[in-house]
Amino acid sequence: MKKLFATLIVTALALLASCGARPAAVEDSSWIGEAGLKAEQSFPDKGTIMDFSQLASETENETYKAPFKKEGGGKFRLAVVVSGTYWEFYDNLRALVDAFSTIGWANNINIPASISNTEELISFLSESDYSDYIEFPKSLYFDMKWGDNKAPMEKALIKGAEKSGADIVLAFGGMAGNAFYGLDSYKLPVVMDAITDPLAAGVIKSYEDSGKDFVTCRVDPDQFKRQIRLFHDTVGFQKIGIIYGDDEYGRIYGAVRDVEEVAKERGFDIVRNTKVKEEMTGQTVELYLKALEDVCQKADAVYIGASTAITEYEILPEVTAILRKYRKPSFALEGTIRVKQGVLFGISMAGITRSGIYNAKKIALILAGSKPRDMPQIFENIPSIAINLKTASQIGYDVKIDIIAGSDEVYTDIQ
Amino acid sequence: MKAKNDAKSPVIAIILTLVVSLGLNLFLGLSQFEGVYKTAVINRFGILSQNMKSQLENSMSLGKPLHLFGNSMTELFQEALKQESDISQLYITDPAGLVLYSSRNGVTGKKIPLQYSRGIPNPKAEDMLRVETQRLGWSIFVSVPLYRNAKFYEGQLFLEFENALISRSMTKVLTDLGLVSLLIFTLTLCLFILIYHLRVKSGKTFTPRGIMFLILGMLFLSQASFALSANRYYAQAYSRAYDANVKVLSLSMRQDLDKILGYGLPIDRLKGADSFLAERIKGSPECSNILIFNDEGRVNYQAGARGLASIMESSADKLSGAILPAAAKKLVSGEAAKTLFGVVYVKLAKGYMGLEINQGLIKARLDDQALDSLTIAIVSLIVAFMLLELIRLAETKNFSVQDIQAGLSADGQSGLRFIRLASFIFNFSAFVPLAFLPQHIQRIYDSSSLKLFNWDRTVMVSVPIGTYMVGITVAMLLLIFVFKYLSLRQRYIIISLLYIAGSLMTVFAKDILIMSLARFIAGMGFGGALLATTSLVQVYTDEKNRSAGFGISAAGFAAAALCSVPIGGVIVNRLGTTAGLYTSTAFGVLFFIFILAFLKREDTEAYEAKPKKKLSIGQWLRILTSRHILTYTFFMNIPFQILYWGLFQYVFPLYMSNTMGISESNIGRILSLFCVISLFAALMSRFADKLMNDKLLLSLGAIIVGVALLLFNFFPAGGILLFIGVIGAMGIQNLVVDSIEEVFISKGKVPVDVDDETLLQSYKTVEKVISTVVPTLSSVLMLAAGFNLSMFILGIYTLVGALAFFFFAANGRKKNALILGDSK
Repeated sequence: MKKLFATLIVTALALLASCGARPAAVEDSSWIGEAGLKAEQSFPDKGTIMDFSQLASETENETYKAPFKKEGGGKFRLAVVVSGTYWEFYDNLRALVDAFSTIGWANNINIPASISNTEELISFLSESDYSDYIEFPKSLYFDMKWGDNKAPMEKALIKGAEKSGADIVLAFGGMAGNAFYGLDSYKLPVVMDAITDPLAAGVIKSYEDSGKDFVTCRVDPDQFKRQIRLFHDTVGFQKIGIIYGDDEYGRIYGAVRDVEEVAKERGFDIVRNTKVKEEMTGQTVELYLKALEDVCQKADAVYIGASTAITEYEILPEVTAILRKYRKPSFALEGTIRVKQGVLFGISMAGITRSGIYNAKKIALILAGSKPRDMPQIFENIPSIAINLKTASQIGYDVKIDIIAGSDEVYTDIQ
Repeated sequence: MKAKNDAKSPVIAIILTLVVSLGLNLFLGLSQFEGVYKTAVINRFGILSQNMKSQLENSMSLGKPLHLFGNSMTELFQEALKQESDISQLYITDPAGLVLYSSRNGVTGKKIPLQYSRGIPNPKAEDMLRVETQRLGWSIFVSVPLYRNAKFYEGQLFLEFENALISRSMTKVLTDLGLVSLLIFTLTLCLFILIYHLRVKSGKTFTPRGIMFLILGMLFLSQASFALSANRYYAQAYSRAYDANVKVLSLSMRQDLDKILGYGLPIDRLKGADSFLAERIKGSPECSNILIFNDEGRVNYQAGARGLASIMESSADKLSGAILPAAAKKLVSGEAAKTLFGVVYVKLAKGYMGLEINQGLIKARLDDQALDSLTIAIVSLIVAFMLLELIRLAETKNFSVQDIQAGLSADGQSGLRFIRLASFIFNFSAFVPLAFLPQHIQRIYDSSSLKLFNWDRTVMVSVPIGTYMVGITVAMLLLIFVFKYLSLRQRYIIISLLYIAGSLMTVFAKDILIMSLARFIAGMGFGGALLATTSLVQVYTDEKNRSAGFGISAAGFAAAALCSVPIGGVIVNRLGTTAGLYTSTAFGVLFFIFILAFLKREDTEAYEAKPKKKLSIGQWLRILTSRHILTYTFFMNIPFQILYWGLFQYVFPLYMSNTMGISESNIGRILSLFCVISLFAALMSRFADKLMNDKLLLSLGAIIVGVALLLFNFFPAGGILLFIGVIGAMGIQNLVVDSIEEVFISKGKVPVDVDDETLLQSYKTVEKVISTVVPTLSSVLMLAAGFNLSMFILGIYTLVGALAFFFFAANGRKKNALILGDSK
């Protein structure tokens, strides 16, 4: 008779399971209290969804300074140095300007849509009621014009750093960064941004350490590796074509080191053409287009870097015409801006707002006395996957729909 | 219930039994249904969570880290909340459980206060699709793990919805079925009164047995009517829930496909659409196939049970030739989904999508529900029958055991009725906590600071179970050597009080030491009751119906086993373990009152007046080493116990679950076949009383099981049917053993002059010891020989044992009947 015990135990468990056991309630009173999970406050904010664009930067750097004025009651003066005219420098400076408003260091101002470069932006800010705590004086803005206009900056900010009245220098681009990094010491803190590969550009010692007490830089070490991995996952090529000038800048603008590392990791071949120039000459465009024709004939897909021919000349129509001719899938290092113009894929840093806040908080801490070198440098931005379906259709490439579904920006025409 | 035609008494009896049986059926049925229905509702949120999961994982696999989704997460949340307004909040945590994103303000960066299984590296398909639910406060949380590239665990997605969503639906079901049960109650009662009235009016009278059968017939009719109505109702509810879930899936997928088609892609150029569809219906068992039709109604892509196929690939020739119904062609973009012939259709921006509702799954659920309804109806009938028996016993409370034994009782069944009820009430009380006690002990251990000797948690938690078994053995020895000299009533009072005390202590135990003591005391009560039953049967039966007495006791035991589990389970699920323990104690108290009310001193006087010989330890050992006991023990009892403790409790459930993939509920149903067969122990014992050839019946029972076990070796792929057959055979053997064992043992020849009861009780202590070592023996055998060979070895042992038993055992009762008559 006692064997019926056995039946009971097993049957009991089975029937309990089939009855649907009551889920165990975990009563964490702190959560219930704070988050309002009590019955009466159960769903207080349904439907109001947070803006997550700043979320990670808020959690990454909780300790930023509330706004304060310069000793003596004046505004902090921010000097801006750009390597040249480049859309990315404008985007990053603009994000920083907005971010100061977000963190309470500046007023909310409407920046006219007509403003499209750093110089115009500085000019607008200097004439606006932008902030009670900081200012971007016109006299402290310097465009190095890719090396053609170094002297005014050097005179004002390097030789005359003390007299300049600047409290901090913001350097956009590798050339601007290098102008300061070459100094053994410098009186003003320098915050660098918008540099394709700061380590390769020689403006930091390592990703974690700038190597100079007065320098800090925003870096995303794997940014381009992620791009190339995605491109490989998506297209599944065996040979990738890359074009770059065979010098220090050419390798940086083409993210060549990253392409090589991923090629080794994934086992695909690289088809290179280095017969291009990374300075603006009469041959720059011609050489680039010729090189593109060359790699298109040998490679399965092409990775379009930030070579001078691409960034300084309006040659995307010619570039995409060649890609169409050879029906080659392509990926743009620069992301959305080139995808809109007809490159098949790209990843942009959609979280420019986040990186602006990151830099704004960093600057606030430095103004409060923190050493630039102590600031964390690694900052991963929000990637935004962009795809151009018009290009896909033109080259007869069927993009898998899960990639379309997973893309943040889908373009159906070419600008 | 004497042969009288006073209508009041039978009407009260039927009202009471109808109320209890219909109420119980409604209560148990609803609880059963709620479990499945809740799953269906939760699945709706599961579908949405899988949908979000698939989007998030897709993006992560494209290189987007989970913590860097930014405002695309805002859009995803908005879409989800738009799709399903019943979602209250959404949360995404990192692998450590910290909230990365939430629709609720103020919780980001905090740890989510839920216990859930974290993901693992390189998960299997089932780990990828695992959906967990948990209740917190007034909400239910559905969670799914998030993986990147199907390899790396990146976080967890939680959907929160109000528990009231389910309770609202269940209130409606309760109201509807409550009305149905009220209607059936009224109609059955009217029918009973009509039949009773017509018969009395025609001048005929009802015998007590006649009224009993009439009431039972009415109960059966009402249960059958209610079970059928409820089952139909549940079937409709399932279909609606499944249909709704597939519609949720269809609308969610339409949104994504329309977004893609909105970019201008032609419907016949959706590269990878088949895999995309397959990915999206993973974890939605309600949908068996999904098809995308072009505007002309031809299938362009499919995924699901029909296999993957795409018009763009070489698999195009595998595309289903399904035809888009004309009614579906009338659908327009944005219109709600429409179900036509078991398929949910929606119009896409281009073409159409059809999702086939998994009819096989619905059928399986309905089959399960039908089986559950049948089980519940049986349980309700048993409880009503016991209530009826109690009423009848109360009506004939002046029955006298002397009259019964002298054949003078007006109702000769009263003694057996008393045995049945005593067995049922006590065992019901003892079995209610069995299912949830281990978890309860675990919780007590976890919440208590008392930790002994640094023992492992598993060891500590098993201590109270062990002390319960020790209590049973101690009580058995005490009964044989000490309590033997007390009156049966005194014994039962002590047993009941011990049991009640142990049960109450179990309710209040706050640490493992007190719990162990409580279970020891309760075990003593239970062990005492097990042995005292043999005395009870001796008192209320004579030689002619002794087997019937033991059989009825076994049937009471089986009935309690069948009823206590679902009833206890529902009480615990609804009201918690404390309520379950109080229920057990309450039935212990009921048993105590029952004994005080019905176990009369004068009934046991004759039994107690018999001279009792003192049993020494030496005599006890001589009994245990007698040929009679040894033959039964080695040829019959050991193989029997290996089968029932080793196989039945341990090996079969594990094998069916782990190797055959049978669900726990279905294992429970298969195993309950064993209990159902045991209900017929009373009939078998009556048959044995007539046949008077116990060893033949015992041998036959063992031969049936032995042959069934050998089948595992000859038909290793026999599957579930083979298991059902073997469990049926084991049930038959158990039926025989339960009905005859006690009589066979007590009538055997031993070298010590002892009475039947002492002989039987001595044997029971050995049986108890054997039962504690056989699970280990079974495990060793399984490990050494594997499943099929072990079954073969056990089959051979059982068969050879049965034959040896038949040739070597002495058929005591027949011999006694021939030589000594009934006067042993």
